[in-house]
Order: sequence, then structure tokens, then C-alpha cells
Amino acid sequence: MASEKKVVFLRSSDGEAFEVSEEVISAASVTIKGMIDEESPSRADTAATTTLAIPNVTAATLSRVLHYVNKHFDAAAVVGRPDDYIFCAPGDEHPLARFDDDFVDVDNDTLIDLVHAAEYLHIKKLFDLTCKAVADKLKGRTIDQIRETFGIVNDYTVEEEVEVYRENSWAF
Amino acid sequence: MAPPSSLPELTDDLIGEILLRISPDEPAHLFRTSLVCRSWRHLLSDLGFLRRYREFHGTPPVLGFLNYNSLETTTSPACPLIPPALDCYGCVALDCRHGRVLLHTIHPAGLIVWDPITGNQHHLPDAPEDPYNHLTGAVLCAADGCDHVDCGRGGPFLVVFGGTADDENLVEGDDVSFTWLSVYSSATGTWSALASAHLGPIATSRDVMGPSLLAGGALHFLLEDGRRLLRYELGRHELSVTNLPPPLRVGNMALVKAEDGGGLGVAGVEGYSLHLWSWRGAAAGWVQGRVIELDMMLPMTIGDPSTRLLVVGYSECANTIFIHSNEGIFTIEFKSDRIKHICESRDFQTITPYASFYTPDYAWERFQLLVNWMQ
Repeated sequence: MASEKKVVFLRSSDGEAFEVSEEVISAASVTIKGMIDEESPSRADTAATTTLAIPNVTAATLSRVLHYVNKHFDAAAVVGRPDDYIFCAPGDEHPLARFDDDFVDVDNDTLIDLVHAAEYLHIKKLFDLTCKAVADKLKGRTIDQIRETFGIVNDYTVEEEVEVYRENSWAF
Repeated sequence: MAPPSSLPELTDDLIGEILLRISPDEPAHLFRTSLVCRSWRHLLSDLGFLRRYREFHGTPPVLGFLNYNSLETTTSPACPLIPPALDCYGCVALDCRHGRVLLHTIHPAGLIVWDPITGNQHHLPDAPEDPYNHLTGAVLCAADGCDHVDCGRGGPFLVVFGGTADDENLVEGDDVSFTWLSVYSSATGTWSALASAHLGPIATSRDVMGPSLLAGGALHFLLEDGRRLLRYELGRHELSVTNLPPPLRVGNMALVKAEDGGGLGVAGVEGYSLHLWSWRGAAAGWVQGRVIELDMMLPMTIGDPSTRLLVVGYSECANTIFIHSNEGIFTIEFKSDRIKHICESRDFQTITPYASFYTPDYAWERFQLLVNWMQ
């Protein structure tokens, strides 16, 4: 057992470095685990800390991601099992469920940035959580609002749009 | 500086991941998003994507319920469903599983397997039967190793039909009530020989034979409102009666999937709570599980003698129980404890829940059938 916990630094696209436990980030992110494993031979027995460049993620987003990752890792340690609280018995008030709800209660741009970061860093639970949050946001919106939210240009012709509406008219 | 409002563009893959997570509970959401743009519509028309969508969610949503043969949708807006075209008297829904509904008609006597989404009806040949004045039935998927995501549309199925004759309807010479059951296979188009069991005297009950629960390769039916259980082993074609009843108030319970492993369980109302029990075999018997405090979850006047909670149905596919209270019918999804008020209070004691995915490909199938019918 290592007596001292190793840390790594992650450098965001805008140049800010964040310290995180190697154990925590390796457990959470497949991408970063891969980067660390690649670096390993050169850093064995050296005291040098590793800094990994995360070119696709800004400091604001990376800081949120690390908050999520640390919180889930700690919670898993407390309950002594992986953070699979989704499968807890119903009625269990898992503190992470509340945390996750608050975590994705953010504006659209922030949420989409988190989707991209979770995909790039390959953090499955965060990817599930953020994609689900975006999907839930679609529910209460009109078609125009959805287009606006996602910056989508309506590429239907008027005739096509009328036809698609007619096909699905019961749903409106 | 980048332009302030430029979002990193969502790739088609990411759009797919997001649309995949639209909840199936209100099918309208999925249909509505087709109107956003061509690529979204393309994705929502892709058979591979829609199958993945159903696999991802796994558990189909409750779309409505049947009271006798009238199907009431509980989604908002209501999904278009096609009522059965019937030319008969006295029709009642006996069961619903994996999108199929089993209907029994009195005159002419018959059994129909009906798909409310496409309107498809499969009339079964006459079942071999002994005398009966109480009946039950079940419809099951017969495909080997099926994940039950799409099997309701065209896959092989089994129909189990059973009856019980009590004292008044016994054939001369018999001195005890007996129960019989036969199985129809859609693959062979034939009914099996009867399996039977003797019941002895039957207690006066609202439902002598209740709806079924499939667990551990057997179908289980509540007998006499929960005083006894009927077990039908599918593989061995054997019928047996368990005299050890679930320890709950008779007449206010339903067989449910046990929470610890999905075996045989039962849920019943006692006071203002829903008590869950699971069956652990003859040696251990019934073991108590969770108690759900309904007074904490449903609107009700505690202490008011008119406050009455009644178990009126259970959907095996959606693992959801239906509770009738003075304020209406509520569904409770056991996995999440999510509650939904589905309709106002009614004058009925049992319903058959209808659960199914409702995705655009299912809707086209219905459209196609309609076109074929018109030609």
C-alpha cells in the first residue's frame, strides 16, 4: 500500500491547473486513467507530479466535473460500495441523489458543456446524468424553444413541416 | 475571444444519447421532437435507434387500464389506441403482458388476443373446457430467451385459460370443487390437454380466481380473494393449490414481483400502509418486506371512516400497483416509489393495467395496418 496518496494536475483548455487524487480520477475517468497509465513508466520512482493537458474542457467546466467526481468517490467510500445509488432500495434517501439534482440544475450552456466534458473524459455516470438532464429539459418546451436552446435551424420546408405535424398531431 | 453564445455543436451521436433518455412515460414527448428538424426526425424514425430506446429504458410505461373491455388511457395527451372490434356480448379483459391484452367474451364464448396499438386481433380456437363458473387467464411471451422489448409485435405467445366449478356447477358424481386449466400455443395453433386440481369447498369471494403473476417458471393466481394460491408449472403442465395464504387482509391484495429477486410476492393494504411480502418456499414461507406508508404519499383524510384504500390492480411489466382511494386511482411504481394520480375515483374494484412502449415505429405499424385494411 502506498503510504502517500498520489495526485495529478489537470490543465484546462484555458490554462488553469487543478489538483486531484490519482486514485479518484482514475476510478472516475477512463480517458484520464489511460493518460496516467501511458505516463506511468516514465514517472515510476520519481517524485515529480504529473500534469495532464485537458484541451477540450474549460476551467469552469473542469472544476464542476472534479467537484462531481470527488463527491461521488467520497460517498462511495462512506457507504462502502460503488456509487450505484440509482439501484438503492426505493425510499433510501441517498445524499447523492439530491447532490445530482442540484448539480444539473444549471443553465443550458453549462449543462451542454458538462455533456461534452463527460463524453471526452469518459465518465459514464456523469454522461448519463447530464444527457438525462438535457432530455428532461426538452419536455416542457415548445418546438421553437427546443430549436433555440440547441441552436438548431429549422430545415423543413413549410409543406414538410405541416406533414410531420399532421402525422404527430395527437402529441401536441 | 470566442463569440459569447457559441455552444460547442452537439454531434448526431450526442443528440442520439440525449433523445435516448427522453422518458417513455409520456410517449408524446418523443413524437413531438420529430418536428424539430430533419435529422432529429431521421433518428426518431430509425428502427435500430427505437429498439435501443426500448432496451435502454427496459421497463415499459403504464399507458392506461382496462375496466371490462373499455381501455382508458392515462397518458397526457392520450396515445391513440384502437379499441377492439367486437361482435359479441359480455367482454372482459383477463390479462395484459408485453403489450398483448387477453379478452374473454361470453356470447359467443371466445378468447381474443388484442394489440391496442395496432388494433390487431387474434381470435383463438375454442378452448377445451370443463364446467366452470369462475375463470381466469393469462397471456405470455413464448419466445426463448426473449428480452420482451419487442415480442408483443408478432412473436409467439401462449394463452393460459382456466376455470373453477363450485358446488352449484359440479358434474354429477363429483363431490368437491375442482379447477382446470389449458394452454394455447400460437406456434402450433392448438390447445393442450387439461391440467386439473381439486380445491374442496370454496369460500364466498368477490374473485374466486384472480389475475396472474409469472415468477420462477410458474403462473400464480390468487384464489378466493387471497385465501389460497393456485400455482401452474409451465414446464411440467402441473396445477397445485397452496393453502398457506399470504398474511394479509383477504380481498385487498395483489400478487406482485418480490422486491428481493423478483420471485413471488404479494402486496396488500392494512390501514393506511401497503405491506409487501415475499414467498421463500415451503420451509420459510412468507417473509415480510417493506411497508410503504400510503398516508405519507397519497392525499387522504386520516381518521375519516370514509377513507378507504383498495388494491385494484398490478402491472407485472411496469412493476406498478394501482391503489383506489377516495381521491381517485393512484399508481405506485415499486422500483422508484414514484406516484401518479391517473383518474378520479370510480365505482370499480379491479382493473387490468395496460403497459407498453409507444414509439413511432409502433405507430407506423398501426398506420400500415389501417392502409392495408382500407385497400
